[in-house]
Amino acid sequence: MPPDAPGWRVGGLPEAAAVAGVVLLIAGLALGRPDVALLGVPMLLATVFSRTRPPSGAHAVAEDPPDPETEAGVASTIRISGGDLAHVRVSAAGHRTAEFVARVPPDGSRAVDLRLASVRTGPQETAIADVRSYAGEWEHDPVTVGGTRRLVLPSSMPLAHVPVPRNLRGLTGPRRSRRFGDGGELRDIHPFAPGDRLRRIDWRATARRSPNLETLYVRRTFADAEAAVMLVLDSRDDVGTDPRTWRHFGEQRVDEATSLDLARHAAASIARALVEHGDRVGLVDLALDARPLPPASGRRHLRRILHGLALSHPVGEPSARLRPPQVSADALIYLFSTVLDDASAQLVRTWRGLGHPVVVVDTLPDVRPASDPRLAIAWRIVRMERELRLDRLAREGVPIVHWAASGRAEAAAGLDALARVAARKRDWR
Amino acid sequence: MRTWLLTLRAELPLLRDLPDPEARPLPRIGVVLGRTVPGWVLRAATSLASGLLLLIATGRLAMDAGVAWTLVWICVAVIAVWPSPSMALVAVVASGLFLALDGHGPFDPVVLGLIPLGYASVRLGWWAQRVSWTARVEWAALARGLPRGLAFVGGTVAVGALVLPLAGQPLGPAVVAGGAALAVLAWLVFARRP
Repeated sequence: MPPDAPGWRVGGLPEAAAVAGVVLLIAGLALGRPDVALLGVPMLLATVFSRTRPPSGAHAVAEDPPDPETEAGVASTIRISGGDLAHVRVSAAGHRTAEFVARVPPDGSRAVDLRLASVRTGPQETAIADVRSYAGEWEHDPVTVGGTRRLVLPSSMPLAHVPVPRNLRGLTGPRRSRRFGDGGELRDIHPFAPGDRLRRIDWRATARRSPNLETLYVRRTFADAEAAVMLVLDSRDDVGTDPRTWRHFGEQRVDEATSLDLARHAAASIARALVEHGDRVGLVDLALDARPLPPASGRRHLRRILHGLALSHPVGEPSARLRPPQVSADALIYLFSTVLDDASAQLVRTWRGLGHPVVVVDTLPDVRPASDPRLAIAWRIVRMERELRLDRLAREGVPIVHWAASGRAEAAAGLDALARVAARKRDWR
Repeated sequence: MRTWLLTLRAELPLLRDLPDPEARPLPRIGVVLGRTVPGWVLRAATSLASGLLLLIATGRLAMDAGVAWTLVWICVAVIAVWPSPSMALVAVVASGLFLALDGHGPFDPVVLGLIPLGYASVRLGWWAQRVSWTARVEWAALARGLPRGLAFVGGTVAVGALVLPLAGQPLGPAVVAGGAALAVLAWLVFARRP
């Protein structure tokens, strides 16, 4: 009996079982041994049962419509209907292949959640699932689903305080500037002068200080303002914990964050802390020649920054820039870099020369020791050069925050302490 | 050729730099499932079931113990390496033929135990052929055909228990009915092939 739905065919078992059952039946009949004949009867009955009952329901395998952008890693759901068993083989880059058989409820569908162990951010692909369905002894042709591209946005870590520039901008904002103007915080009581608004006259202070109203007194307040911060992402290279993979030799593990993942996470954490405080944040990607994202505030702008961070990637070989990207005046610059070459240190010095305070966030992951002696020597040289660069920057007064796995716990406290120093010291930059 | 050899000699040391995938296993893909059984259990179960089937059948036959054990071990090893329902069916047919040759006729009551064992070994062989060692099979999936299998096996065993006292008596009509049933089954299985 042919099945109602296409794609189904009888598996190999029924015919073999029928042959075995018939052989045993013939042997039993020929030799007068009903016990021998009975041995093959269950197989014959199963064969007849399965062949006379083809699957009737519609067979469908699909991946649930994914959220194209997510912060929750790479997860997907495949939905299987038709048949009563689903044999699924799941594969994904950098993962072991998983294989399982799941029960599909009759007249229903089965949803199977798949989650990759990847901690990587940026464009990623969901797992690919090869599904073969069974209905009794009937098999359906394999169906492949998955492999959908998704943009994994960087997650963020809560930060209480982060350094902001001393020179604030604008006429509104969450912060108190050092100049007086419209704001909520009292600066002083001052005799009325040309330019003062009448509504600022403090009649109580005037009555107390000048009962004859010879002089009027006004309340002067500190002006409200906002901080402007530029996040500069050094995405010219993307290195992992294994130095053997640094020259694109071999594959980086997906369950370990690379330098670019750490940079995205650090930048997202700082951007979120600033935007939630009402400050303005911009983004520059050193690997691209595109125009920087100008500083702005608001949740939509934060989404734009996260999107820009997730899409950043190395382009060709790391190259030094001829001139640093232009940033807003008075902006504080956060540079997220591995400091594996002199270009990043040179950028820091140029910006500082232009009067911008700079905070360097070191995003090199904890590198595993190399077993190969030649590689170990090479890594030792690179590490010493890098430490020299960082020491020089630190001696020049550049704050350096380490964001690798081992230094992540202290990063928030380090930024908090730095924010207090920045607020206290007049010449901090 | 010389250039090729020189290139090969220059490239060989680079093989040391290849990342060793065996150093740390790759991460697993997370899958949410119910209670599962690993695939190797099914493979082991079908080998053992088929081996036990042969062991019982050869035990009924006056066969040398060494030969019988050799047969059983060969069966277990072959099914463990290449599990398939066909191999299990071969073991079932061989067991039936061994029974036919033994001296416990006309109805050896041990067949009432061999019927479920043979059916189980074939079903487990079906599973073991399809899933790998490391695959996970849901209990619910395994139990899918259980009621149907129990009905087939239980019905057959019940018929066997009914036939047991009648065995050895001349039953011409029963033989004719058996032949007719065989013809009907053959038509159902082969003539209505999709």
